[in-house]
Amino acid sequence: MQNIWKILRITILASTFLTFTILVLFPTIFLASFPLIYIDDIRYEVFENPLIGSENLRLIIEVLTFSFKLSASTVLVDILLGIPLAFILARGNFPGKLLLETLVTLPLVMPTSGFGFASLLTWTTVSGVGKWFGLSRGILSITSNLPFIDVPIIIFIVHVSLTLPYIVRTVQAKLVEVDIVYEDASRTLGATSLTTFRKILMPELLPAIFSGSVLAFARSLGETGATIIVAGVRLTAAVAVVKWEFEFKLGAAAFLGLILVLITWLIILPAELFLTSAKGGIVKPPSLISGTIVERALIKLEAKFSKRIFKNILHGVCVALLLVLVIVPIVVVVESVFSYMFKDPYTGKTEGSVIYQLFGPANYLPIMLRSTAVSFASAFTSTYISVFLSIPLVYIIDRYRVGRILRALLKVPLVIPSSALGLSVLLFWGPKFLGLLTPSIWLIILTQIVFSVPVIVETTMAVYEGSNIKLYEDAAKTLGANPYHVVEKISLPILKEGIITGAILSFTHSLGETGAAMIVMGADIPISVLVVNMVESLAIPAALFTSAYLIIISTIMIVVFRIVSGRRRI
Amino acid sequence: MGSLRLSNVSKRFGKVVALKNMSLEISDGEYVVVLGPTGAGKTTLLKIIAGLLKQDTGEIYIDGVKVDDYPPEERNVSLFFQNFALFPHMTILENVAFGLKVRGYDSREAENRALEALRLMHLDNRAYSYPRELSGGMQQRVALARTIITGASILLLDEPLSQLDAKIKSELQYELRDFVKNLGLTALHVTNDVEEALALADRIAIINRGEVVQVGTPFEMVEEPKDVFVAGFMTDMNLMEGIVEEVSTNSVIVDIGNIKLRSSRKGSFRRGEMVIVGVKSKDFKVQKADGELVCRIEDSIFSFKYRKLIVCFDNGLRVQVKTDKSGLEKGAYVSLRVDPNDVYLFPCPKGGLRAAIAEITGVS
Repeated sequence: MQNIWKILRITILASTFLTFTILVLFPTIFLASFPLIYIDDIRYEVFENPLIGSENLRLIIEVLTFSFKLSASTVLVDILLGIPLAFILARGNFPGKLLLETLVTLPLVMPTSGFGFASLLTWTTVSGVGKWFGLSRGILSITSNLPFIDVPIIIFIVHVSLTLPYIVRTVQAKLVEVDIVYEDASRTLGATSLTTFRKILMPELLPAIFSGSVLAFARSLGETGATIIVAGVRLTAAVAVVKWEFEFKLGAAAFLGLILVLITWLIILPAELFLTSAKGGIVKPPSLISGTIVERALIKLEAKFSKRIFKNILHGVCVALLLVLVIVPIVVVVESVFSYMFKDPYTGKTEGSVIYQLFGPANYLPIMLRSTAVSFASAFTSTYISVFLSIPLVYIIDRYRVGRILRALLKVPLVIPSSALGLSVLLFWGPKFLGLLTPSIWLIILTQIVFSVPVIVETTMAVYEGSNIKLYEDAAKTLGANPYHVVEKISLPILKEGIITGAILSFTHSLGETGAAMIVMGADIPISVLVVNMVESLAIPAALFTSAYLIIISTIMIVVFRIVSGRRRI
Repeated sequence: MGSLRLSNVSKRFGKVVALKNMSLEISDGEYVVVLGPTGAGKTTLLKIIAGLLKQDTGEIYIDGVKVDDYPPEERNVSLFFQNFALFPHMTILENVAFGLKVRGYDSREAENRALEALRLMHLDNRAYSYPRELSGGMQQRVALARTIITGASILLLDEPLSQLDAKIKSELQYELRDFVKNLGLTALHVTNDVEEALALADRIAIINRGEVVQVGTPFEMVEEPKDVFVAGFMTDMNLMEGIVEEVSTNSVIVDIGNIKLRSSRKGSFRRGEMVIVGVKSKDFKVQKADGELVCRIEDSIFSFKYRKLIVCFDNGLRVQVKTDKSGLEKGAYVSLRVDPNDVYLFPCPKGGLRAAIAEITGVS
């Protein structure tokens, strides 16, 4: 009997590993072969074009600088806004806390193209906030820049809203974990609340802030769906990859994609090393400012600002900004759907109405329905396959030495720009290498699997590590359970929460993902890309309707998500 | 139907030796307690017997059958976990019925039998609660019910009482032994609590650093400790370093910094040899100061039935004495007497008394 179990286990683990290697690992690392495959194209397009010389290289440098400025300023604001928000959510207890928490998470599950369109409408057009102030235009122009760094405010706003959840959630999780008793002890020993924050909490929180920032930076660097809508003529690096791929400038696209991946790696790797070398996850803040005089001045300053009123003002401002950034665009989109329902409210023409575009000659309704079907079918299939791959993977990661490397590799699809990932998947399966698939829903599914598996593995792993599961498995064995019973009755029920959370996250992620889908979709256009197409062909009412529809779907998702993950932990 | 034999079992984790050539035999229906300081290898021993770990060398026989290649579920042993390991996602009833259900029992029947087992533990009214809703004592009884219901005849208990507070502990201690004996089970119980071991065991095995040091009945362990480690671990013996001064046919005189003690216990010692002298605190008799073994009472601590004195000799040697005499005040001078039969002599271990004590208290 025992031998059969052993053979069965090895078969399952080995086949999982094999599938994982083909479906996830190869497409991920295939990026590295770009320069080899495209060596000629790259040289021709980027460095020695007979017509334009190294114009493309100049473009690449330009989009990269722009992306960097954008992502860095985004992360900075994320940190400033995110830490107080994390505090409110972790330590506060007030009516509406659940709502606020949901709001913070919303941009994670919302299709970014829909959200991008909503923001564009809200801040830069007459249908948005401008109308409320009696203006005949938006309160921002698409070209209004942030001072000094030359980044359009609208892109910046969208990026902040989309990446804020990463900081808030990681810091909040850490704060919940830190026993409040240390803060209480510090306060009773005479430290003010700000001093307590700096001396007691900061060392514990720094790793979380750091890893949250890395995620936010990577996300901002790779964001495509919303950016492509709000960016106007400006190109971020991730958007450039998509655009150039469309223009058949494959060499330039591949070269830029590779650079993006390398940059992400250069950020992630030292961060990982730094975090794992920090003892017990505690990092000492730099001691540059620990001189006695400075310290004394700091403590005095902190005492001055530790008054409750300052804290309340800070918290109020952060919450208000969050509401403005997330809620207002949603309200505006929904409101606009109604005002555009039968006619364009400004010109009065019926051709500019939602109804006309959906059912009229443009006939967007069937296109929309088909795209919805493509999105749901691909998201469901990829999530389904990913769940089956992820569970044995969690065991491989825990039990075998190769696991640690696997886990590190799994971080790659989570952080690299999705357009680069899409390009890599296309090149791996497509005519350039294996020649098995052409862009279609099948490639969409394969791409989604690449980033879904890491999500599900991470959430399941978190439960696995937090639940003492081995003890219960041992107990079950000594009570007479065979390996099948152990998995069915003990492991899966305990891991259930992590698996479901991961599945919902990866499903919503798949549904909303734009950058990679644009590259691999072929004729099967998913709904998130459809919004982009509608905006680009100036079918505004149709785009309005689709965005509202996407936002409603994702709101339903997050309610489901709340119900599942909000249940009391075992 | 439940005998257990270990033969030369060894296990190491990297450089750390957890078990070293351990041999132990337990007959059917016997209650054996394995006693040892933290880190002696007790839990490893149980996990190996249960089949959760595999030994590096040596064999394990259950009812005379070699079980080294059997998986845990086929070994006819059940393991009681230190922190109970009640499945958090199952109710009490589901927890107890688990062992039967996975053995293919009809689920109605399994639950009926589980309810019966819970009734025995006076917990049938909590059958539909979850483990986290129960107190420590209740969880312990649920875990016991879950362990026993599988019908395994060998019960392995990993510090089953360590999670409970002192009062419940002494109650459940006897309940546990009664229970095991009434069902005719064989039990192997590991703990680091000496009183628990003395109260429960038919036989005690003391282990240290993965090796069995001595096996015997509780009485033997207390009265005939084999070496300093056993003596120090099992009893409240005063241990002192001394030098053999005189050896005659049936007694030895030892010098402890000018205090002379006579021992008439067996053992071969040479003149001038360094030894460890052990005297239980109850074996010192206190009397009026008369010039011999005079010492000053430094402290006097009252307890239930007796008084514990800490006395100090001229040469600075301190010993503990238990007495039921009253009127012994701090600062008074008294003389001690001890029967030569109650003076234990042990060969001096490597590193001397200090090292031996460090090992007993688990400091090393």
